[in-house]
Amino acid sequence: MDKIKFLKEEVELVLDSFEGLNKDKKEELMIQTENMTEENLLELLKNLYRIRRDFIQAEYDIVNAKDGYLTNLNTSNE
Amino acid sequence: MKLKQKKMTTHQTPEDKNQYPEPIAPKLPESLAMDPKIQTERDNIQGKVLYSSKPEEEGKFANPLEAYKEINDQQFAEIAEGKPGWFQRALTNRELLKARKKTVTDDILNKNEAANRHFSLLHDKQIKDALKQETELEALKKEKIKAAVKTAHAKTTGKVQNFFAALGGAPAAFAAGAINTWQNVRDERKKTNLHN
Repeated sequence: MDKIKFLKEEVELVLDSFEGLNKDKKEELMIQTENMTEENLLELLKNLYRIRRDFIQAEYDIVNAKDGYLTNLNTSNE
Repeated sequence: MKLKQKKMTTHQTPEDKNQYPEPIAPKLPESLAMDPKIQTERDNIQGKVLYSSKPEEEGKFANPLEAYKEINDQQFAEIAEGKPGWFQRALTNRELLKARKKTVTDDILNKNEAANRHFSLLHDKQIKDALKQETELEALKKEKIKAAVKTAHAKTTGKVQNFFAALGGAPAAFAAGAINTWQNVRDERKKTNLHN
């Protein structure tokens, strides 16, 4: 596999990991990678990894905060 | 001839260019102490989860989130540093990334289901406040994702910048996530009319 192909696949894999991103938007974004150089793709990926980190952290934060809210609610009613 | 030495603050090192930015505000409220029943249920669920496809790595991480962050960061480092052999290592990482992504997604969904079950037991008068609370939390999450995309947009140029401009154009869909909201739970409860 060549590097350009690998990098484009990586972009697609990162986009797939964003739960909720619809198929049309993903395709629109992938079209933008078609004429990117290896340097561009590397820059793109580095930033996508950063976003993926924030995205997954935000998903965890919200489920933990919901649990915390409900627990506090129960405690205050006791 | 005097050599000019570039000044460097205590917060900047030559490696900084490849580091992640500081956490982006706003932060969500910290989780409070957990209901013992839910905590036990969660521990039972997590106890069955494999964080890695490598048995020797089991127990290495405190939770699936840390395991996922590690492989994400490793993949980032391979590409950012570009050391010899990075291409092959990044290819190998894919399987591990895939396994940990499934684990982390399952963990989020399990936690969300537990919260939904907890929510479904609330009295009607508590539901309105809980929905308001969830709406605020969702808004904070969206802000955090939007801020991350905005930062990426600002840090790039040309075609890469266009990519992030397009990604930022769909913040609602992007930040919505796959988890069921309490609104869905309430609507379902109304349909079944179990508590009304």
